Amino acid sequence: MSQNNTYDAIVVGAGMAGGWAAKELTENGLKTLLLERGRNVEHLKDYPTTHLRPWEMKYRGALTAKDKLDNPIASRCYAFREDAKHFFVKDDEHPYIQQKRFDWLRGYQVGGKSIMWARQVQRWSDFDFEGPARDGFAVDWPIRYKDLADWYTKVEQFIGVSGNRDGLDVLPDGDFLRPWETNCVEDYFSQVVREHYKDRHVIYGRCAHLTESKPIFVQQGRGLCMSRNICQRGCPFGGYFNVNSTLIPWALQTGNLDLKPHSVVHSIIYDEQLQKATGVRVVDAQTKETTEYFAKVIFVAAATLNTNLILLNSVSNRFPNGLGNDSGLLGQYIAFHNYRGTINAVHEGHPNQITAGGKPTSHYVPRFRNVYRQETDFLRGYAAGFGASPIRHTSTERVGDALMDGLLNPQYTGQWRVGSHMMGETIPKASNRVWLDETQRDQWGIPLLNIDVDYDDNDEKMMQDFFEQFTEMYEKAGFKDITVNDNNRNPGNDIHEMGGVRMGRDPQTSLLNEWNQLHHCPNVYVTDGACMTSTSTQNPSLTFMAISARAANHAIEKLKKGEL
Amino acid sequence: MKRRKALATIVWGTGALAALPYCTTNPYAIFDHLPFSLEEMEAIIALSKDMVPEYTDSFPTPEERAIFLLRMLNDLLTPQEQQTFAEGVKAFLKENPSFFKLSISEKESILMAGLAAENSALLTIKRFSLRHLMTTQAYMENIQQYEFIPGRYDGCVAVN
Repeated sequence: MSQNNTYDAIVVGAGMAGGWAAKELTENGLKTLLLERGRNVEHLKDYPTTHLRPWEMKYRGALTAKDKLDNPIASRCYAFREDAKHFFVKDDEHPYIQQKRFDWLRGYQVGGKSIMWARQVQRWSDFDFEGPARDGFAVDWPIRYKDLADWYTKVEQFIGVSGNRDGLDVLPDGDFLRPWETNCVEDYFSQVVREHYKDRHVIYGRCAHLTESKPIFVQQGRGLCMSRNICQRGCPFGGYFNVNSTLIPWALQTGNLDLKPHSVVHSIIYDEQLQKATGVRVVDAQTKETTEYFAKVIFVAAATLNTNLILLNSVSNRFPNGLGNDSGLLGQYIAFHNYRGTINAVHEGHPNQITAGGKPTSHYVPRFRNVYRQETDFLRGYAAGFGASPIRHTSTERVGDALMDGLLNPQYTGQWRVGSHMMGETIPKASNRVWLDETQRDQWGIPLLNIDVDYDDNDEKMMQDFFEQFTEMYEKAGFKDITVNDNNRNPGNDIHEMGGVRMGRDPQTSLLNEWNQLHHCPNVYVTDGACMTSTSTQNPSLTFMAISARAANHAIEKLKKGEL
Repeated sequence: MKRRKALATIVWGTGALAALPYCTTNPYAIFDHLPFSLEEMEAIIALSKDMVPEYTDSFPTPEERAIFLLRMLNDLLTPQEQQTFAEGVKAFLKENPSFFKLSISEKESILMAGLAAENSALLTIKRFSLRHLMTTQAYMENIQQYEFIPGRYDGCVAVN
């Protein structure tokens, strides 16, 4: 593939953002090296638990005491269970320094966290891209919805997104496959909210699952989602989108991809005479030997905090504080999503209906606070999920034969369990930051990352508003036994950390331009969550996949013109 | 050569014989984290079956109840939790020295009182025992209508 380790392009990170860059680059004829610090995970072959039924699992899905002891951080993740824990890093092998409590949840393997993700995908609108400029925080995004619209469509058409066209300006419609059926209580709550509120909507949760077959999916070798709801194990049908089933095989079949797992990127090589990046230094994860690879263009998509780490570690005479860091802002303005608030209740209004089968999504409430004008004492707002399921009771109070009578006769109670969880936008600020430790290093000789990120007063007020507004909405629906809860999740536990290498118009207040090029080193692109100037409320993956596809095509055009 | 082989056979056979008493006296020796005697382990297993009958004909299990229960106690509980559990079991057996000689109804009465008083050892045994039974293929598929590959979602179905 390469002569003297030289390629047309290098992509750091084989997750969603890096996978998209690799796909676009290789499809357009560029010899591309895709580096992944973890092991390879081949679709189908490396999903060891995907066919296990509950009774076939040693602990029936539970974690052992040793799992929790060895992985105090990862074990706080909802997906870290017996069936998927092998896709998470071992905490003790990948230390970092928490200045304040931060759950850094990582999946170091080809495919990254796309194997275990929740598959919820929503487009951003201009209410999101214009947010910082309108509301006076962070810096103005250098792009708007129109710059990404076609790329959203490209990504949706390729990965497959199930959704409903809702016609909302706050949440643009996409190119959707048909939605799953909704249940009666989801429909009921949607109707109640529609009747009582002009600007609030309860809609189908758009998700990256195949509900229809199309030629592109057949070409990818993927089949329809079978509603198993154990996606975190990897899917034998390819029914949901992950990088392993889709982007990697697609890029490999071009003949232009060289995939190298077990490759820990230490730093980017900057040539001071050429005034450009020329390659990357890689430490072999297993042998600890260092190798250098070279390319005309480099995409850094190692997942938000690792991308920050790599750039911070890429020091030179020209960039003593990290690659492209003339502004001094690299590593600052880290943000995330506030997932702390939940509300639960019981619904008694559909006693004679239940559901059958399964679906991998529930309903979604797009942001309705501070959308058209500032109306609260906190900035921005929150989206929320909404789920409803019939309650079936199995009596387990007795012992002996009397217990068996109860176990053999589970009864639907006529009640439904309903609940919502908030997804709040946090405001990026300089004090939420990461930086390299001066003395402590990991086993590959790379400085440990200090993480200093926390909630603030805006987050607390937003959560209280979520409690109040959703309690009101639930009361209007006649839901009973309403309880609200602050689950006190640490920042990072949302697994939506973003920022540190933000996009912007001004090189003095941002690191990346409108094409995701480092202002001061334009042959380096950053397209994962690190590039996000603000967080909005929507799940970020679809947006940085679209950003990656757009940026990759920009790089391709620039290379063709000899401008990189 | 034949003499060497004969000597090796004797050595291996002697070693196997030496190990045999240990194996036959404690079939659960692999659960080496548990702070119980063999007698206490057998009592835990018996309590499990008294609380949650096995019904293995109707609900066959991939492993014996004893193995599953002890594995869960061994691997899912922290050392402190195991110690607390062990103390709870010892206290129960001390309070009820003739428990296993009682009639079924007498035993169930004592067990229900213990559970109502939130005896954590009894609650733990029952929890894991229920998990063993309720995650069997027969229970999940026939009683809970569990489907591994539903392939559909029906959002509004009339209750039968």
